[in-house]
Amino acid sequence: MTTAVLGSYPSLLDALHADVTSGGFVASPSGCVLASAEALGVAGAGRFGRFGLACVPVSAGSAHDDATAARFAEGLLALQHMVLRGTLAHTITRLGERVSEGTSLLARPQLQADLADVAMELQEEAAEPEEGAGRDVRWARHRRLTRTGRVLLRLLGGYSMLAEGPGADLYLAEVAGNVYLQPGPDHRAEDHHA
Amino acid sequence: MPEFAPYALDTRGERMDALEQYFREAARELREPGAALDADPDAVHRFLHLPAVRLQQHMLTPARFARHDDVLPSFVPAEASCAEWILAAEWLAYGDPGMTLASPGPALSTVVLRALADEAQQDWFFGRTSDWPTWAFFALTEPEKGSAATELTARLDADPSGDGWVLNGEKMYIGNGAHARVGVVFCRRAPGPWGIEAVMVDTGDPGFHAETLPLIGLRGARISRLRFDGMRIPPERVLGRHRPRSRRGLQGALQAMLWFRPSVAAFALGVGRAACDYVLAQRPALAGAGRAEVDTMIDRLNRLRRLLRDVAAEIDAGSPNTFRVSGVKMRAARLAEDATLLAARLLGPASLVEHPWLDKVYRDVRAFEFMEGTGNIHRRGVFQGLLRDDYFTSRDRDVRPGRVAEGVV
Repeated sequence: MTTAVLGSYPSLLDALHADVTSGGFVASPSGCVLASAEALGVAGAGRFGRFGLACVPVSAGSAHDDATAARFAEGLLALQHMVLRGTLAHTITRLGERVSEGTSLLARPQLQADLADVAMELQEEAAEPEEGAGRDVRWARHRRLTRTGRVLLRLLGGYSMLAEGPGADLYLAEVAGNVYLQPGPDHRAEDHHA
Repeated sequence: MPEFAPYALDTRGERMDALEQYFREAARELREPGAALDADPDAVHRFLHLPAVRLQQHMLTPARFARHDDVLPSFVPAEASCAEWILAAEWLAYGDPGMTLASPGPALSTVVLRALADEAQQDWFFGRTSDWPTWAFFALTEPEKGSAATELTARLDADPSGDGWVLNGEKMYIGNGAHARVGVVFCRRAPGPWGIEAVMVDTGDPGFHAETLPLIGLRGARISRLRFDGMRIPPERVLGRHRPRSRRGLQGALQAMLWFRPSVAAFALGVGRAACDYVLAQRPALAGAGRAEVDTMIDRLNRLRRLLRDVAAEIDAGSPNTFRVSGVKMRAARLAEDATLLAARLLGPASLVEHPWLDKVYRDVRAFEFMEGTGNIHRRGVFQGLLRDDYFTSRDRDVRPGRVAEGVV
């Protein structure tokens, strides 16, 4: 799997929509579509506009059958994985350029351990395709990848909060998971809604 | 089922209760401004009339410069103690952390001034920050260096004219830097820890350049990148110049960070509490495992709140334990992240789309991790405390069945 270019999440998400639906959009279970603002024709609009994304109510042409949703969900996880791979490489490069107390930050055992944990998690995630898995399993995988991403963001410090850095792509991957991968109440036996 | 623990200091319980009640009420007004700032960080000017926006300036200003203009009740203290300030910080962040950090006032620099400045220097600095609205900055962190005070590279060289100094260098991730009128800059006059100086700058002077950085969250703080390009510093702007070198710049930086670290923890706990309250307000019938997770989060909040209260009291008593301060700050920052992740999960699919406030704090809280030092730095601090047998308190060592401590069985 290749690594993602910083800031490319919206275009990668568009490509995934197009790949799964032959040029259309996939609707989320909650009835909306998340894609680039440009592709949805609402450039710059809404809360996610400054990140290049938009979320609009589902339209008539959006796909929402179970098979399509499952393929799209797997694609989202692959996309999150790709963004994390890119962020891991970026983090290693940045930390390698930083010197503290006369040595590279990468010489610190704690940082080495954190980076190794991230690498192992990513390798485990990529080891076995889970195409037969249900929504609960995919949601759990997304949450693990989210936690993995948070480790990298902590290592990046203030840089992780810059809108033009990897933090933005990881945030958008979390939003996409929240919209498309999170099981609804009908899948959550442990919660009882009002 | 856990309730949020009350926050009354033993030594001044009655007044702290009144203060907390006031902060809670004042902070309610910050939600809408917080959302406006997330869309447009410069919108702060629309909300300068709010009492909650006045709190930072008043509480962090020495009493002799404080202006009593009836915006705040008389029992809100100027020159607040650490315990008083964390109480304010927690509730202000409960209202909105971005709006809190966007508020005018001396911010972190107040501690450096109080620690190092002579009377004339205090007059110069606080005379300006007392004008409403005036922002100030505290510039320690540098690009590629972080906030390691002993490694900073911004240079303070003797002015070739023979009078004063010349400042050159860059600072990064500086709150309100591009909008401030004055600030404190840490720089290097000579090698080694005693070669560090803290100087006051006027942003209107030649050689000052600043830009606001585009951020994912906490946009109200208007985090900035600063550049000092041959900026002339008159000799009277070097803080603590009447002191020995070992008790000047570095000491000011360390004191400021130590005093403010608990307030970052307080910000984090305030937002964490707000996230829990938000879930319960949105899902009043939440039960089972979901409710248990919220209750567990509230229990963690109460425990950290108690620890935060303890470290603030130690600071106010003049016997701070830096290791415990590190531990509380690091754990509170993690808790805030955990609370927003939990809220996003419990509020169901697309919660970050359907709940704009939640999406905002979900982005905001990640900043607490690196404000006042990253988690890994604080972990090292806690480890140093363990090595010196100076991390655990007598209470920690006395955990046994049957012991009942305040709120903990």
